[in-house]
Amino acid sequence: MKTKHGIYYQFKAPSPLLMIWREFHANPISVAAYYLLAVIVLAMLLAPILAPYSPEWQFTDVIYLPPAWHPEGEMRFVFGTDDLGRDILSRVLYGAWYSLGYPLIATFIAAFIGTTIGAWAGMSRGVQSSTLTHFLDVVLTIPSLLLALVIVAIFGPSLHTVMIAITLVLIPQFIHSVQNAVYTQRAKEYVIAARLNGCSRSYILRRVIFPNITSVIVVQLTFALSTAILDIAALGFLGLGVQSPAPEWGTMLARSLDHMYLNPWSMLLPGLMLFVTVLSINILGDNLHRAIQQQERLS
Amino acid sequence: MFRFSLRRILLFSITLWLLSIFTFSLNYWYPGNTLTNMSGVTPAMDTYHDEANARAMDSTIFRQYGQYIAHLTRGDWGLSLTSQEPVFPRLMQQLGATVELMILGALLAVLVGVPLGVYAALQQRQWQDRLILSLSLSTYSIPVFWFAQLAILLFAIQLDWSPVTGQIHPLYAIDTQTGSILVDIWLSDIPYRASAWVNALKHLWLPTLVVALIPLTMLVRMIRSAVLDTLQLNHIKAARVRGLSDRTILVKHVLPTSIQPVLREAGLQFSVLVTNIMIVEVIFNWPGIGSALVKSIFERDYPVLQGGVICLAMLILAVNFAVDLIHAWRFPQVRDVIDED
Repeated sequence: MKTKHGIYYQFKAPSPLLMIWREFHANPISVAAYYLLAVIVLAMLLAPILAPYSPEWQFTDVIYLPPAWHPEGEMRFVFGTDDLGRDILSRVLYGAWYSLGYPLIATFIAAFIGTTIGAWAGMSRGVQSSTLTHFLDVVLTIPSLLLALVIVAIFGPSLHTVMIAITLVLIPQFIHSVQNAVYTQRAKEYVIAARLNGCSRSYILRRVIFPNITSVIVVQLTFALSTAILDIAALGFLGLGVQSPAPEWGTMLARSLDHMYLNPWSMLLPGLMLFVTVLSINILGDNLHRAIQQQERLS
Repeated sequence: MFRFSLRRILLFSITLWLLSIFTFSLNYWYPGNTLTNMSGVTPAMDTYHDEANARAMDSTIFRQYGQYIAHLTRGDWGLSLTSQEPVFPRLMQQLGATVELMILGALLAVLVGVPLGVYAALQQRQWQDRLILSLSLSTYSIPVFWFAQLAILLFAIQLDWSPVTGQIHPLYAIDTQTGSILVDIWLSDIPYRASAWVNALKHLWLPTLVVALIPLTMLVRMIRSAVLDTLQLNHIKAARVRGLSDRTILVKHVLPTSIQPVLREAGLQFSVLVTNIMIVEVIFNWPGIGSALVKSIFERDYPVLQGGVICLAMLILAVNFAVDLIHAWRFPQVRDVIDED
């Protein structure tokens, strides 16, 4: 690729991340998923402005109201109200903080810690590396929900506990994938060349290897994010996560399970939002993964 | 193979040992009295001092751990804090119910998932392939509890094809022996066995379907990509050149080769299945380990919680161990790769 810098034409190879982004951008479905996710994140950030009511305000005159398109629905409550007369749309919008915002934070913290440990493990060799690999293989086979349940049992159900549990549970996944990525890159010629040039280990890791494994980390981020969303929602659904008045999507679904005969509508929107969010993240991750494989095949 | 098995057995025992240390230390981390968390004997009981002596509570932590292991292997997993019943026999029954759901779910996933995946691979880039792929990606993203709710709403409430929760209608009064309802009916000597079976199956098919859905879709995707990779290999081309029919090539050459990468991922699939079972058991009120585990957290019933964690973790580790052995036995090339690192 030629870009114009000043008066000279200069050849500049695009970074691996940029090349993958171009590959990714060529696929309309992944672009659609990307924008859908962007809209959901935007709706989450703007929830205080967009939501018509407070998520905890109880309209005692309209309990179990079906959505507006139903003959018995009312236009002021577009998606109806729940068993305490709270507006479902407002609750879902505010609930995005718990069901999307907190998983995002947990994923980023886990990514930071996991990438650091994984990079260190990938750069070291011998006993400590192989012990860690075997240990991680074992930890990864245990379902993350089971580990999260144990952590909740120790500290008691609350938002803090759930955040700690989800972050801890996600770290091994990052260590595993980063370690493998560093390990494969380390044997390649450009890294050996850098080492022959006398670069220090930390320089090789930060400036030589790291740009080439960012794509792996990005894919792992999307997988971890969908795991985190589903786990937080599952804990909320089991009543062991975010506690009740908070409008978390999983908690809302658990409440609607009790009133399924009376008002099946109240499970529509929270479940749908959960589904659409996770689906767009999964499509994003899947297509990113495919784009990376395509790049590897070309190079 | 011998060398490989030895290494795996060693690794498996080390893992079990680590698991036992983990569950042992959990008893100190849970809130409350350590001995009560471990054995379910509260200080108000007469047996408290005997239990404290038996578990060497006033001795070093190593002696305590030794006694803990001795109790575990003896099958003395303490008393439930809520019902004062021994934990171990009850857990074994719940394990039966869970394993029943697990086996049926896995069976359904394999029986439907493998043919669908192969079909999608053979129709690559046709509309059938695209349909199966996009369906599997979207079902893969459905939260299992929401799907269970939708399934109950549609099949149990609207269509009335199946009861909402439970294992069997209580009027049948089947004694719980193994926990697995189909086996229990077979073991019991009631005259109306056939109708009990029909009733049990009516309760069973919906949870099985919900449990199997996500592993099924993942299986479809994995089989599809594995078959596509295999079709590019030289020995398939050679078989085609020799004039074998498509059917023979598929059954005798493509499938055996493409099972290998899928088998490697089977452990991961199994843990997805277990996660789903834990949630589905709570929704369908299935008397298995998952629902017992969740209930024990609510009730702070630590002996039951500890037993459930040990059971599920051991089950997962054992299945992974077995899959590893089968994998290496069936595909010798894997042994060297694993031996190297």
